Amino acid sequence: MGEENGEADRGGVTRLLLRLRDGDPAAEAALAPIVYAELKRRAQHLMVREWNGHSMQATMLVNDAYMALVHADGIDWESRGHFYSVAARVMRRLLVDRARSRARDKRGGGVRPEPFDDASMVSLDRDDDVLRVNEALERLAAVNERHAEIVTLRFFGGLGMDEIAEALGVPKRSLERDWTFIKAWLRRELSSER
Amino acid sequence: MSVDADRVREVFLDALERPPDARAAYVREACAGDEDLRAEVASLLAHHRESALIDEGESRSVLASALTQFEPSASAPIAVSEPPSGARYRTLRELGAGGMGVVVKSFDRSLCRVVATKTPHGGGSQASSSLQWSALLHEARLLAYLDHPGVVRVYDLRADENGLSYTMQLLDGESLAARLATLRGEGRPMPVSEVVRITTRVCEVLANAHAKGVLHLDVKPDNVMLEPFGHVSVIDWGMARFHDPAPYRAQLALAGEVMLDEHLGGVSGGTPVYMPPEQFDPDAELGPAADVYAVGAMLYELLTGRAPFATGEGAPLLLFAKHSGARPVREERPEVSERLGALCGRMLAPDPADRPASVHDVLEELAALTDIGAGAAHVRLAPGEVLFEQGAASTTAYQVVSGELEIVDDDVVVATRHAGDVVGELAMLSRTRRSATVRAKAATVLRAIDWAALEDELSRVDPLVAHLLRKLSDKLIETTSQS
Repeated sequence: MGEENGEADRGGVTRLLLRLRDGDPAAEAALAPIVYAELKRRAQHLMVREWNGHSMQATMLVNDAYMALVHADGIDWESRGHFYSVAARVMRRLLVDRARSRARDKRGGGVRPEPFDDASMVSLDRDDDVLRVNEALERLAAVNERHAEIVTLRFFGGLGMDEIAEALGVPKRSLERDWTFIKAWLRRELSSER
Repeated sequence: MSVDADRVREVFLDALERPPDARAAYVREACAGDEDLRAEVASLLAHHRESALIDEGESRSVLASALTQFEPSASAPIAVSEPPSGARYRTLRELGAGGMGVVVKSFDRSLCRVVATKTPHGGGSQASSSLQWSALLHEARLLAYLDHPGVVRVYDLRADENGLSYTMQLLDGESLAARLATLRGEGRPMPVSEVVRITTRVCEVLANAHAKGVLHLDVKPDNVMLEPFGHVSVIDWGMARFHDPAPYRAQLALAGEVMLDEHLGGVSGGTPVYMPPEQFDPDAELGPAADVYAVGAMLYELLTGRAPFATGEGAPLLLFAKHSGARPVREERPEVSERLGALCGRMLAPDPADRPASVHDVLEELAALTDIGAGAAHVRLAPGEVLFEQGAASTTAYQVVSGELEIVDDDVVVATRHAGDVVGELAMLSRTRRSATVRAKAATVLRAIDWAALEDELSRVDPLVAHLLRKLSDKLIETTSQS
């Protein structure tokens, strides 16, 4: 997104969020590419190499994208939740695409790395982790779609407990129980002995 | 595996509500012979952790950060806990909690200095929301962008296992509000020179911010810190917003970035007593004149010991009072010079267009207050050259800077004047004609002050002194015209 059309995108994204809130499913399909472009552009410029913890960086990226893309004044809580859900899914795809592309490159697949791969991005040395988590999430989604969604929102979108409850429209108490279950499930899936 | 996912979840969570040693028996019973279900639940239970603590082997994994960030933080007040050994900052004590987060005093082990660290409420990682995150992030970035000695210096912004936080300069000293309260308690006003000095420092901070396109919008004595050795800082930029995002855009463009948030939190409001009338309107376009007004209100309070408008009034009454104008400063504190009083009055003009156009103009005016003698022009005479003739009209008095003057009455030299002496003052003040001729004996340099320059000087002194001189002049004119 260039600076000159930033304002146009802002208005556009805000309108798409309002359409999404009003139940227009096409709005999400229109929103995702804009968010993807913005997150990818931001990832290219992120200069916080020393930061640990990949979801922290992902969170920061998503936050900044939100600030850049949405008119904070004109938006309600629900639409804000929609944005973060979309951004979390986009972020997950971005990370997975990148990890795969780098893994291919390491195997000498002859694929030239994209220039932005040289810039520091989220999780520098954990491509394997990203892919493992992604596979675990795919398995989790097969068992329980909502559980996978919760992890995506938290991990890739940086949402807090209250915000996830809000975004998914579930009571917080029930979400906490889900999370207890998800944690055990993820630990088991990702434990090296398995 | 053909187990029912909902049933697994249900048995798993029910089992957790029982004491650990009773769980296996419960699961066996609940599964009623369904061996796949029992094995699945047992395997999950084996991977359950009661606490948020991370296993040794997990600590490097991507999962660890995902899991810990989701733990509720209610049990552990984040800021005052000891960070892992080897961490750069060690917490000393909590300094205070504000709207945006918690500030602690910490020790920077690498540079061996004491700093302040700010984290969002509930800690930087655990329960903090992305909204708190972005608020803290923007605050840190704004302070870093302002980069001025009168604004708290940000040292470092971090997100690590302890969460998001930034470190900054630890301010020492007291707020201007506290200083005013002390003076009030002692029944003393603040010396005018100190008022001018502090106001000048505050304006310098704002001039930098305005040049960078940022308005503070909550300037008041509580938000001015007086540190040792005369240093003055403007704090609490939580209300700040861009009136001109171009300079920030230009800076970000250097790194190929685009503007993040032109609203900078977009909080509207302020402190009514110090707010300009236009800030009461949430939709108004605010400019630097809004901060000029707030500094004017603060200047008024520093000079007189009380805010220009009473605090007890409700917002509509307060707004009405602001539109009606403040009582002139000199009615509250008579020794304030005319020029300083007028400056304060202009800064408090209800219409932004009537205020000084920028804090730069205010700074120039404040500097002019102490420019003693700036209105006097220099005059050079060659030896023998006449300064004025006997019987000429007189509007100017002169002071000898160097050289020597002769006073001549009917061709007789009656006196000489040297460096520091003054000539022609009585004729000027009494508006009579010159009683003698004055000429240079040697090459001479003089300072000349006419009526306009005198008025300019008088506007900067104690009005009582100005009054005495004007009164004396009037009396002289009256007596000489009678004789």
